[in-house]
Amino acid sequence: MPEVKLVNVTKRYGRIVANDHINLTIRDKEYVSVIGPSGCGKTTLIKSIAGIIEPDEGEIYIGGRLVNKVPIEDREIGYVFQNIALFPHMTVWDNITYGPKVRGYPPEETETIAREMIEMIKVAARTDAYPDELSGGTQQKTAVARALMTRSKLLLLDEPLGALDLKVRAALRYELRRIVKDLGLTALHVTHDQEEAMSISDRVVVMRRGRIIESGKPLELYMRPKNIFTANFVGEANFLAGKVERITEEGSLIDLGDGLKIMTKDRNMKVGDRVVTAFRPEFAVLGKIEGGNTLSGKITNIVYSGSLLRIHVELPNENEIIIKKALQFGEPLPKIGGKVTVSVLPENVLMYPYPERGLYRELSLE
Amino acid sequence: MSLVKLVNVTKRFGKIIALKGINLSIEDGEYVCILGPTGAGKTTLLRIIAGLLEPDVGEIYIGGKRVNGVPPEERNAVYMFQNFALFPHMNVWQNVSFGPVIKEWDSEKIKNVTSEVLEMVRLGERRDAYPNELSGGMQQRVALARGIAAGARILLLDEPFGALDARLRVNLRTQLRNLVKDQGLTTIHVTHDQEEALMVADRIVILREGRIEQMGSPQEIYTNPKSIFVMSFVGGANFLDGVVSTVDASGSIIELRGGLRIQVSDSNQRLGGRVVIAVRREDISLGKSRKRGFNNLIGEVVDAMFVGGSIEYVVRLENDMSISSRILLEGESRIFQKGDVVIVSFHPSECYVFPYPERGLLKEIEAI
Repeated sequence: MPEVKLVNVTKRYGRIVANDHINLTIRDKEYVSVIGPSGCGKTTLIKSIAGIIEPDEGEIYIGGRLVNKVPIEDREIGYVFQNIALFPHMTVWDNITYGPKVRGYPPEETETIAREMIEMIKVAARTDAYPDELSGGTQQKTAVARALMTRSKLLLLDEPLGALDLKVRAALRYELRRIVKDLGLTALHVTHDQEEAMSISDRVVVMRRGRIIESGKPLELYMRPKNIFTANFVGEANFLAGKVERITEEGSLIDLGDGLKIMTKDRNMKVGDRVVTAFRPEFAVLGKIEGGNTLSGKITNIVYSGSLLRIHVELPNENEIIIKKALQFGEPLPKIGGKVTVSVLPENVLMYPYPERGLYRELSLE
Repeated sequence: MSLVKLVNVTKRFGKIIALKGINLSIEDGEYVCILGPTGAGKTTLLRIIAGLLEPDVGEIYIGGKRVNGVPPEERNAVYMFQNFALFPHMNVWQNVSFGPVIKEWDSEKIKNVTSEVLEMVRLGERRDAYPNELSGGMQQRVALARGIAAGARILLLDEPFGALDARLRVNLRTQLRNLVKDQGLTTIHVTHDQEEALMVADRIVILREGRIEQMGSPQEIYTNPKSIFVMSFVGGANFLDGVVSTVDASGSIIELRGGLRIQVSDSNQRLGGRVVIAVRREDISLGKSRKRGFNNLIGEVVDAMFVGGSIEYVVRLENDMSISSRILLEGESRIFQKGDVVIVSFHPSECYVFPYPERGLLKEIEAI
């Protein structure tokens, strides 16, 4: 029953607070990812749970047991990190069975578990191969199998796919999730790849400057981020600043200046407040849609990436917004310089208080 | 005249042939991305242009001059970025003026060039800052300024955004492209990120096992992939194995396992031939009704994964084959759930047909 619980966990390096009063519970069998800009403290967090780093304050519980003083080898965890750490002179089989052998576990039991793990990672045909004969993806799967030989139910993954090619990474993340779910493990996964976190986890935790700023299910976090930083960090967004002009039953009407207005379903601010509205490029469509806000502007640039078009539109108030569009078969292409109407539904427009430190600084990804 | 030209370049490391007979011409001001999986020879190619490696066979020309045997520091115009490394103990000004100082230009000229270049990258006000006080994007601009001040005309970038956060990478790559285009520099950028290449390159060169598999503009590569490998590496696709059962002027019909028939617009097929149909995930739509003129197959949603902005569905067809579809979450898109029965639609002209590969289908895709 490896529920992981962190209470007020704090870790300082000199003047820098890497983890600032972190409170987090990872439920039994939950797959949680932690994302955040580099330096946000996500690596410190996973290393504290693993027992590689000891926090200055706070408690860490694994399965109800306080583990602050428990060394890594007695925490009953499987730990996989970015640099594939297989023994190069040992075969897949020897790598996987190495740990239990050194610990003097009964060979028969070790063999049974190893066969199970090999079955799980689907490298059955290649147990006598050496690491350098395997692809990076297979090597990393072997590392996962080795980590799980302790029969640990808690798997800590520190950028496990970070060293792999994008294509391999995309394929392996589903494998990883399947292994975790099939074995009924609890997993904590740290990554710098938002898409990876979104597709693999039950819940995503967003960290910034040593703190957890938000956590939620992937789709919720993407559709309704509570925090303006999250809105920008988990996906691209257009941000338009303005003032609340009116609040009605349906939501709030925001004045964006130069005669531009936008309606949002949110009603969490007061008339006259300075706010920032945000919407994702793919939720904005060219042309009119029923019940949608309409903004008119001029196309200033079009960037292709495969079947996706990114259309830059300059609004009359000189703000530029980006629209992402999946190109449908036979559809005519928009043209640079053309005048267009952009529509976005009020439920897809988010609203945040105007950040005290300024919008640009608040959104900064670094 | 091309600015960089490689003629029949071959490089071996022991038994491994890293590059085999590469012919490549790069025009002045062009932004070229070298794309390929790990081990394809991308970095070797870049290092050969930089002069850090010598080819075993073949010629390298820069600005019309043969440079085989010319050491890197004498290939004046070429600037190789390795992780945009700056000197940590020097401030922005010292970093940027490093090249001119080493070359012992007179102090007035050093001052002018340095300030001009710093203005160019919009860092004039941060001239006294040290690298660790700057953001990643700013450091990158300083590194670029340093290269330009040193007289670089050709930038060689080896996975310049490799270690950065995925979200930040999206911002920086467009900034970088705009900057080098404004300066009229020629850029050769190595990456394994196909989306990055599609977004920034004027031309993409796809390397596979030391050879050029295909090259062309991003749109050419995307809309006219010449092999299963390219199709699979750029964009991600479904591959369906079948046999050509009808050919006429309007196209062909390919019969899949279980008798499922797919209409393709390619009529250049041999009756009875074994082929692979490739359809991009993003060209497949899911709905409740049939679309006229499209292939419409019935299936059951077996998996729906949210991948940030899009949903990736896996649908099991009646013949038990699986097909994936990636749908951008647009304004009013409808979200399907596991277990929903849907109609899978794709247009005959979105089906690419390739002969069944000799080495087997998996081998062509697995090489990735």
